[in-house]
Amino acid sequence: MSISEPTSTAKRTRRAGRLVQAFRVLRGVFLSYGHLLLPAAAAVLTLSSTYILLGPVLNRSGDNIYHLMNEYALAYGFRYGDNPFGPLGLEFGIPLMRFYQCLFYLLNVGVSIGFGVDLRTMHNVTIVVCFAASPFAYTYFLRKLGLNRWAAGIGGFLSMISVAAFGNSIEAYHQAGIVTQSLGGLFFPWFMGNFIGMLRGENRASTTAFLFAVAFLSHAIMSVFAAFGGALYFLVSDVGLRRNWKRMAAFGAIGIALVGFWVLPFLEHTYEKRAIPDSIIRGRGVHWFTSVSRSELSMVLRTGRLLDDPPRKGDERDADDKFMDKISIIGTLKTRPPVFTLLTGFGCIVALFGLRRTSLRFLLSGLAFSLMLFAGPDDFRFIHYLPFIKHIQTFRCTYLVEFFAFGLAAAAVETAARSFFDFARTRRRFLRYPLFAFWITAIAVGASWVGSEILGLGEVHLVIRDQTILNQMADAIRAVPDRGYPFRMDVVYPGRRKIRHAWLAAYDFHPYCTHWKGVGATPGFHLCTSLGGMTRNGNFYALAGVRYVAGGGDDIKPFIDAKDDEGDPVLERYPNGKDRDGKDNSWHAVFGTGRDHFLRPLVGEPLPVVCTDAQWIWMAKSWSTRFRNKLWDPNTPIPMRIEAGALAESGLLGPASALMYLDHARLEEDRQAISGFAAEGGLVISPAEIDGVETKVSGETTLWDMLPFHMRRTRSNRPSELEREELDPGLELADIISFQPRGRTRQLFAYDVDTLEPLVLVLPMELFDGWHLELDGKEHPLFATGPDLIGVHVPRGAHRLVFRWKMPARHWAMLIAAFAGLALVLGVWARAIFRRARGRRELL
Amino acid sequence: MQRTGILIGLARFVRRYLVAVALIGGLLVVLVQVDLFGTGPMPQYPPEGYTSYKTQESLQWEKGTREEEIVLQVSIDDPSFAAPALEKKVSGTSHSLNKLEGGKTYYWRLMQGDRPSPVATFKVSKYNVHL
Repeated sequence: MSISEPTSTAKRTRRAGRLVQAFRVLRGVFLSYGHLLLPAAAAVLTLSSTYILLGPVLNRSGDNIYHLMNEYALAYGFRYGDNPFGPLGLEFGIPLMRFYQCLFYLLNVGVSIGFGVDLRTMHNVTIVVCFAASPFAYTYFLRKLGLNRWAAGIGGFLSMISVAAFGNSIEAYHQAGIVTQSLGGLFFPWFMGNFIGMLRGENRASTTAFLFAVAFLSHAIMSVFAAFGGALYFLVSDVGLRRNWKRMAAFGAIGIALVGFWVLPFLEHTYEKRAIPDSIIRGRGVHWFTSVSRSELSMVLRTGRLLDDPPRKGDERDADDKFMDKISIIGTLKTRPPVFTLLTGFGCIVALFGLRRTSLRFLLSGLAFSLMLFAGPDDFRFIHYLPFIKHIQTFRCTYLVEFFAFGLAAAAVETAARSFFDFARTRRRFLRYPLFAFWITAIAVGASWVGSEILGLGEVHLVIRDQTILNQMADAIRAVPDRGYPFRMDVVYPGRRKIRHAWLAAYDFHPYCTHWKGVGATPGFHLCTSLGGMTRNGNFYALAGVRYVAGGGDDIKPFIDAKDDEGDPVLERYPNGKDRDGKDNSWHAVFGTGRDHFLRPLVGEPLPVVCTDAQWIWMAKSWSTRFRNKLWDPNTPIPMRIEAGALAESGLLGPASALMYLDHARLEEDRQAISGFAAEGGLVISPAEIDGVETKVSGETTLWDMLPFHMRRTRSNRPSELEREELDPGLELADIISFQPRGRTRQLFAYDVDTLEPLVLVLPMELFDGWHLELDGKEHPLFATGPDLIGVHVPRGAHRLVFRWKMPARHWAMLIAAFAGLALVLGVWARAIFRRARGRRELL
Repeated sequence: MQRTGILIGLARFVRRYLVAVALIGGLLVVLVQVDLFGTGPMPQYPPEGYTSYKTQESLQWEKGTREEEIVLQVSIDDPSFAAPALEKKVSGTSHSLNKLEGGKTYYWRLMQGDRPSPVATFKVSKYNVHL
């Protein structure tokens, strides 16, 4: 042994010292970052149950599929050069970007097209990634708010098993299919944390505005909650406006610039173009659209159903369970005791004792506020004055409730755990170890239970659709020849209609448009009536066109072998028999009843109608109810809507013999046109006298009964009657040849029309801003006609009609502002990175 | 000087706690009230801000949990209900109002004993349309 060699004792001491040092380092790292293990664990648990979605698969949820279908429609539109902000042939022709979920769609479709990723895969990846990352966002928010790091971590961990969730819930995503909120679930808490940081001078206004925009564009409700949450923090904290007005101004300006391109058209659509105004729907769908009552709120709080699942499922559920399911998430599948309600209640007590802390004060105030929001303006009148409150559905308020509740629950858990830890630490040695053992066991059991819940929820809710039948269906439909014009295909599928539409969309068949029912030939009409029925299709079905219909079982038997006068089958039947697994599928039939016309002539006389939105809805619905089986009848009036004040420019008074003037808001501007029309013998029908004009005033008689005799309904339309007797609903009146200048675009339709008489032609699309018509190369007026139809009055002769959708200039302006805002944000980030890098070099 | 300090302190207290206390207290008061005394009737339809274009509307309400009889009061253009146009005992949860006058604002509430429900309002368009 050499002298210089240390003794074994010294070695051991040194080794022990190193171990102690390593332990200290590890302990330091753990104390600094250990709390992040909790959201990380939640993310890992989530990924371990959602990884099955990471591919081109269909999850069970109907709404999930529906969103996928919308994305396919968007991708389809891109292929034919359609503007993504324009109509894409979906849902009454409503432009897709007028829906809530702008960014989710654009992101998925953009990446799918740009990188060639299967759209279903991209759709699923977005959900899973946002979902898994959202606990970190919530932890970040709680940390910024001022909760200690362990409370923040616990909050992130717990938030994954919320019932309806603000975006972090497996159940919310996969049971109700609220997939588009996955972005919001990630960015809303992230924004809130950043916003608080901005008010403290820790975060940049540009970054906060960017996060706000991302949350906003991911789902409109997130923006409302962000505004509510931000304002509330401002009110209950010490943050002063004087110190922050510059930051707030920059945040507001950049935020508005970033979201304006979507939000302004969205508001315009919501307030002016929605098929049924909220004021009508909301009053009747009380629990969905207005609020719960005070007693219901009290009940759900007492029984713990607001934050936990109903204790009973299925048929055994009592009325309260069903009620809670209805207002939260439409039937959760996992049963869970009211643990979270108790934890939140405990958190409220903790917060009451710690009301001096801004974080707890904010969480408690936020919970109280969101519960009031949940109960609605009937019980808390001040809510009536909040912006957009009429458009906030009750069940969405649950997200905000949970946003605050899980913070309180986390504070409760952390307080309890810390108190017990301190208690154990200060006991005598013989008690300390058992107490610590108990403490560790309790934490392990709690964490395991929450973890198993996360896994269990994934297993319960993630059910991948069996794609065999869908594939077989797609094969059959693929055999249908391309007719060169838009047509409807419909097939039987034992599941939600949206699923089969989405699947067809995945195979490049354009998703359905609700208009294409009812303008086919009589057998198709009967088939449609038999399979669809008025009760299911409402008042609209007779207006639209069935090109292909399908059915199964007894419903279709009379139609399968139907022959026309010449003995030929009246309906063309598309492939059936055995599916690819050899299963008998003969009950499954697809029929073609198509005609060559997408632009459909209506033979009646145009009836100019000047009215408000609400009046138009009633007018259009009552017209379709009253005249749906008389579209072939020249006595049928064709209501064509004219904006108040634009009567003279409409050019419609010439061919009309009657005018319905129901909206007197701009009577002075229309007075001259009305007088001229009346002077030439036109009949003016109005709810009130119009000075200087002979007016027929509506009273107890319906407006339809006040029309000239030749425009009245000639026969009653009782349900027992044959709905339509004629062989052809007027398609022979005009020779219409369609040609698509740009493939199957939904924003450019062109027709050559040859008609012996002046005629009203209808295109099955809603008349949204941006639709233009060129008749023989010149701009020609368009009118909203009946429900969801664009109508045009065409003079006799041969004409070329080109319907074109162009994005309005104001929308372009907003889009440019958004790009400018984004460039500004990126510029600020780049400058910061550059400065930081330069700073490092200087240091080095 | 001392008074200014007290005022500043008071303002800070109000700033910090008033909103929080109002929200928390407001919610608690309502919930306790519900549990102790039950709930009275609550107007539901037509919703606030609604404009009717018809001569007839159905008023709908939730009955609440109290058992006392309910009196419906309707007042035209008068939110004080000094001289209600209609005052009627009702047993169900809806009542049809006929012959609505155009251009008027209708106020209605439900009385249970001397406890009134919140007042609900709707307007009738000057131009009624019978479709």
